Amino acid sequence: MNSLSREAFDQLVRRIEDGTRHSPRLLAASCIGWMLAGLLFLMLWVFFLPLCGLGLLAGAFFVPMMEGGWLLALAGAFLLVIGVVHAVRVLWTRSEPPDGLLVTQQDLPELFADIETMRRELGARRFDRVYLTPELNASVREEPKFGVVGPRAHLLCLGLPLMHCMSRDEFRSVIAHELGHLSARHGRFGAMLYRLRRSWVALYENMENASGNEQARKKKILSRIVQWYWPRFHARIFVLSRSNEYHADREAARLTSASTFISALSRLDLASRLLAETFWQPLQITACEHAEPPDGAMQSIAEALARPQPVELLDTWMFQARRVLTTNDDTHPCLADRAKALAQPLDKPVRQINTGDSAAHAYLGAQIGVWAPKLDELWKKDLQEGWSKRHKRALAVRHQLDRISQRGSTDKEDLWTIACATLDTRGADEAAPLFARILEIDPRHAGARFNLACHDLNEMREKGVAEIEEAMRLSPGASLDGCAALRLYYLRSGQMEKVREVERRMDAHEHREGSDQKLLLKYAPGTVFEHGLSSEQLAALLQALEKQRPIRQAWLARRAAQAGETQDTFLLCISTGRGRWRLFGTDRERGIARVLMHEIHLPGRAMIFAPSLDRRSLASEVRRVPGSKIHQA
Amino acid sequence: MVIFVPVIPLGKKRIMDMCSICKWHYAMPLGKWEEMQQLGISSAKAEYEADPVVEKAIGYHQTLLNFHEHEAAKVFREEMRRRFEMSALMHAYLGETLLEQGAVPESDTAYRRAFELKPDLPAARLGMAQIHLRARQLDDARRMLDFMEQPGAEELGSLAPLETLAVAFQDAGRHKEALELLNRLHTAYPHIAKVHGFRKLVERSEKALAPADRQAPMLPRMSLWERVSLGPMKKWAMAGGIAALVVLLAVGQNLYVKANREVHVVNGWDSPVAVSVDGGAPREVAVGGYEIVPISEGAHVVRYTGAYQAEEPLQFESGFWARWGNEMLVLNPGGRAILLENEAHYSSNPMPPILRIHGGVGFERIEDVTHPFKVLPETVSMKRREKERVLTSVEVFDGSAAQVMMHYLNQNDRGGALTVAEQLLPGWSDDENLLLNLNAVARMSQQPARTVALLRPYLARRPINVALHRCYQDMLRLQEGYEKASAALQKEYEGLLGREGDSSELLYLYARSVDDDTQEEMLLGRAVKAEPVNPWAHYSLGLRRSSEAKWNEALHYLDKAFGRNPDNVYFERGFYVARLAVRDYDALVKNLDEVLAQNATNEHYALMLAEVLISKRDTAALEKLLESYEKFSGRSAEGMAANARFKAQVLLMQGDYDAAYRLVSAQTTEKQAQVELQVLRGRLQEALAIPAAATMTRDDPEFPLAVALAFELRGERKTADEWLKLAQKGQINVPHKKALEVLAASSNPDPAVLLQARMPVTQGALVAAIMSLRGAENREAFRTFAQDRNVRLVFPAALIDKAVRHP
Repeated sequence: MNSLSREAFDQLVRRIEDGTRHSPRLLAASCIGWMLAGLLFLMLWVFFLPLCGLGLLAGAFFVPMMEGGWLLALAGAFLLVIGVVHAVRVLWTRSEPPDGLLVTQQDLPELFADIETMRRELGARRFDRVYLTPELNASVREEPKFGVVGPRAHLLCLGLPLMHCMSRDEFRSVIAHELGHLSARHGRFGAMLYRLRRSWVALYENMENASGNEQARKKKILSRIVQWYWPRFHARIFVLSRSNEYHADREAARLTSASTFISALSRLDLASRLLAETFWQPLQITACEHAEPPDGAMQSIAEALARPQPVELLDTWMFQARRVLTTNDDTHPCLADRAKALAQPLDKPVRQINTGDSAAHAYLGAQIGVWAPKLDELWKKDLQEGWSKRHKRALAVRHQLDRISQRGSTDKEDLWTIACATLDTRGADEAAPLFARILEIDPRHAGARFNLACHDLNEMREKGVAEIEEAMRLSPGASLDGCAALRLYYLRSGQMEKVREVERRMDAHEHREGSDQKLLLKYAPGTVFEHGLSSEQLAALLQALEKQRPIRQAWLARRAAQAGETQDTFLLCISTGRGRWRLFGTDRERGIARVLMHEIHLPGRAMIFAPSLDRRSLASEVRRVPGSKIHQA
Repeated sequence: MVIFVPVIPLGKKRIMDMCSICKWHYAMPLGKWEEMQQLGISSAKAEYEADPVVEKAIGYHQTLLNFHEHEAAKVFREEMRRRFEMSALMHAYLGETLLEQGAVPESDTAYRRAFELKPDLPAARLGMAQIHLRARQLDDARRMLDFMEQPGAEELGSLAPLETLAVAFQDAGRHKEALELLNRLHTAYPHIAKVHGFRKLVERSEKALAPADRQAPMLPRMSLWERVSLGPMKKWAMAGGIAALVVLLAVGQNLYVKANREVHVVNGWDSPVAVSVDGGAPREVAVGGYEIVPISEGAHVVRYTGAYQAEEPLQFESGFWARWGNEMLVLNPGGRAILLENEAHYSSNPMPPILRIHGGVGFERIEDVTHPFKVLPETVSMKRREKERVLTSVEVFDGSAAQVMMHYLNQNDRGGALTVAEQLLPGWSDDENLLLNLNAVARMSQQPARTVALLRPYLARRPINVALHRCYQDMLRLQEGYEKASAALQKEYEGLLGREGDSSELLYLYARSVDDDTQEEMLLGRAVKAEPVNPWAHYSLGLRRSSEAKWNEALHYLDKAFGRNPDNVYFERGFYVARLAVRDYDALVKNLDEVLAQNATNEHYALMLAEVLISKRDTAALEKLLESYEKFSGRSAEGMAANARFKAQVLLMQGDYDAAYRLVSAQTTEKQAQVELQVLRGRLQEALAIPAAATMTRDDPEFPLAVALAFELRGERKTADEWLKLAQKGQINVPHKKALEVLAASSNPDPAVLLQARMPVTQGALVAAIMSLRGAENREAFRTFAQDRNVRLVFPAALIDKAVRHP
């Protein structure tokens, strides 16, 4: 949907940030202006058909039925029905209730007392409902009070795992941050922007879902507008949201303290990492064994968070967390930038993720035992679909492996199947030796190399960079996924320049993949060099040219691979020696090129052409390259 | 040599994809296509050559196929087989590719080899399953696809082949197995339960299963909403929605039209009429104009004020479909306005427009009016296949009902004239000219009974419409059984006189109905006494005096009648004849000069003046009149014809029949004049051979008498008798017929009979002239009778004059 490249989007975001740094109102006004423009267009687009339909129906009312009125009525009704269906499809956004347990003041009086105190201090509006969720997160949500339209209720969602990993003060600072969003009316405006964004996405999806000619037609009309508008609007929302985050951070620091808030964020980072490695990853493997998610997940999370971790490991994670950079993938700034904005150092060592005196104990006390099982059920329900799919997949894979093992002999293809199945069901650590074994059999096996490289990068091992580059070279189709893995690695290692470079490569790949004519040669002057073929390769080529009697002259040059390309291109210019100005095209050369295409063997892409009208400048360029003339009859 | 230079730059194209039905295709320039082909194929080839593994080989082969290089792909397949003989993956790929290309035996071989190498390879098993399916070995096919029936297989690949297998089982009548497979699909893809096609498959097997094998339905029942929104009913629902909207709009519009019918209120009166519906605000309708008043269908009360004052109920309702047609609703106060409906046919060879007359009723619907009160276009643009278009306009006629009748009469359409008179009479019953025309047409059409029936309902209307009563009486006189009807009428008038007192009109009408001459004279006297300005009574008395050749007395009465109503053509003619008889030439010349000063080409008055001038022997003035008439008639064909006709009449009156005949003999429209002139020239056989003579015999009571006189003058009495009998059968009153019978039958006719019959002056003169040639004893009395009444110069005055002078 985003027609701007990542680089261009980043530049746009920077430009907007620079332009509105000292004038938040200007940013808000800009967002509103873009939003209204978007809304206007959206309404015009969505209601164009229904309005046309209504117009025709109104016209039909005043035209006698027998004098063409019925035709107007039919056309009007058709447009109205189609238009209304289309409008509902585009505009209908369902607001799902949060996956959490509704808690009241009677349930958690201390929590509500803290929320109320901070709310008053911030002058924020009251939350309509508070939910306890099984997530390691806290958030504010809005939903319509009466179905689809009307005033909106403000919901506060607080994750029990988050409570487990933070002290009461730290958790208060998190609530203060969420209240900060509400106090500055971020919520309402943000929700409006969110809804508009959803409508645009629906519109675009509707366009994508249209088939055949309809799609082509809609795309022609819409895509240019959408692709121009959407990234520009999104960039402004993005800057506004990030500005809101900083504002909410300041409010949280004011109500508690900056150090407490930064400590809370640091603890959140570490807890996320800890759970990812010690809870979620094993859980993935468990899903292969058991059909149902395990019971007592909340307790397991609490225990995982309370379990003492090696200091070195915590230091490493903290070091990595500090090196993570702010990107435009997320409206939340990185930890380092948020600490810097609050003038807080990040050098304070964290020795334990859970302080022991957690907010969960402070607010829920003995009631944890009541709430946790209920949250377990919610968590299981939420997980069930993905869990079930994974479990089924594991069963099928196991069946497949059984069949392979029954056969006895295994070749490279079988190994690849087994390795992939192991990666799926046992994790990367167990799969790595299998991929390594494949590479021993076939060092050019791109898939095995790719998976190994990804494992290395995930483990923050630098050798993975070269490996994944090699894998991408071997299998250009894996370039985007490889770049994504590289980018994550560079992000986590704080190498922003490398991140940008990878993003540029991703942009180039995406651009080429999205282009209708990705296979066409993009020629730029100054990119054509000597062919650099070995004498054997050249001899074989000349032999093939000799067979084609009509060829009087031939020139060969090499064009280096451009961004998004994986191979060099050999440019073979042939001439049959006939007059230059011919009326009836280059059928003869085309025929020769078709034959030659299958005859020659070059270590890269090849383009065989005559110095005809459509590639004349390229022919000149090739002929100017020293030593390019390889054949003269 | 001709060189075509294409305006649009043409170029060779490569058709990428084409729909075989609509021929819509996607194409790209051939150069670009070939460039893409070269780069794509060479890239895949280079990759393969750099790393000749089976995956790259498959990639290269696939690229060749993608760019339709089938020959090269075929060659490369051989290399693949040779180099990767032991690769089950390659054989399975080849099996799939070859099957897509329709090379089934080659594909089967490849699949079998793949299966031989790796019986667990899903692609190979799938290929083998296809082979078994084609051979209808369904159990073997199912065995090959057993990996798809394993739990979670849907997570590794599509289970679509199971559906194909299930359908094959269904076709083989093995519904139990089919249901097992469908159940597996349902387990793997629960949402498939809402797919219409899948439900149909399941239903088919469930229904076909033997009752003993039947289990609970596999799929849950769908709610109505799900059936509508997810099944094929979705399209029907949409279509239904559209249809419902259209129907709703159609009904709504129809009801709206019903509640707001556009009713055109027209005004044919001489001053504005205001119309008010159900006590609403009155709307004034200008003279000859119209107003559109929205009125709902149903019962209403319409109140008219102004020129027409009445309160009338109005109830109308149209059919559902008629409301959408070109139905024009007209409110016509008093039925006075005459509406001309003109149906024009536009085509390359159009039929003449059709004129229909509307009027005489207070409310009327006129169907298929495309141009209400609008002028029809001279030409219309027709669609290519349209052969004819019919447009219809309606407009208010700016004239009288009598003029409409004349229009039909001018076209010799007496039936039409009579019908239109009947139609318009309700709105024009007070129009004397219409009634006079009706009288004449009914007489000529010999349909007195029809006219009597028409007029009868109007007799009771008050104030008494004398012209209408007169017409009624005249029609009665033409009927058989006149005496009986006359007696009844007399009684009726007596009754009315008893109830309504000495009404001058009633006395006059009563006088016309009685047979007794003395009583009639007495009643007319009472009528004049009751109302000294009653023109009809004076007119009657004037005619009575004229029939007695008491011209001075006649002039006295006729002057009064004419003075009271100068527009009445009877009064005018009677007065003119009386003045001619008393030789009031100078005054007549003065009066007629005044009239002709307004319209010099008025043939009627010009002839009257010419008659006066000839009678006066004022040759100079006559010459001047002839010059003036010729001058004002103009040089147009129509004007010259009118001038010739006028001159011929003048020559007739002057007695120069040959010259007159020369003027009209060539004119097809002057048949009557030709007949008259031939009679006067004594060429009776030629005259009666002209077709117009028959019409004249039938319609004009004087003509057969004139012919009888002409034969009498030639001494052909037998023929003259025959013509007298024809005269008796013609348009002549019953009393006059009787008098004529008596006279004709008598060997010595008595002038008293003629005097008592009170025939019109010219008829009486003609009969007297004939009798003067027969009755030796009363010859002189008849001669005097005829001479006294032969005051005019037009046909047949010359014949009468000749008879009078006959030795």
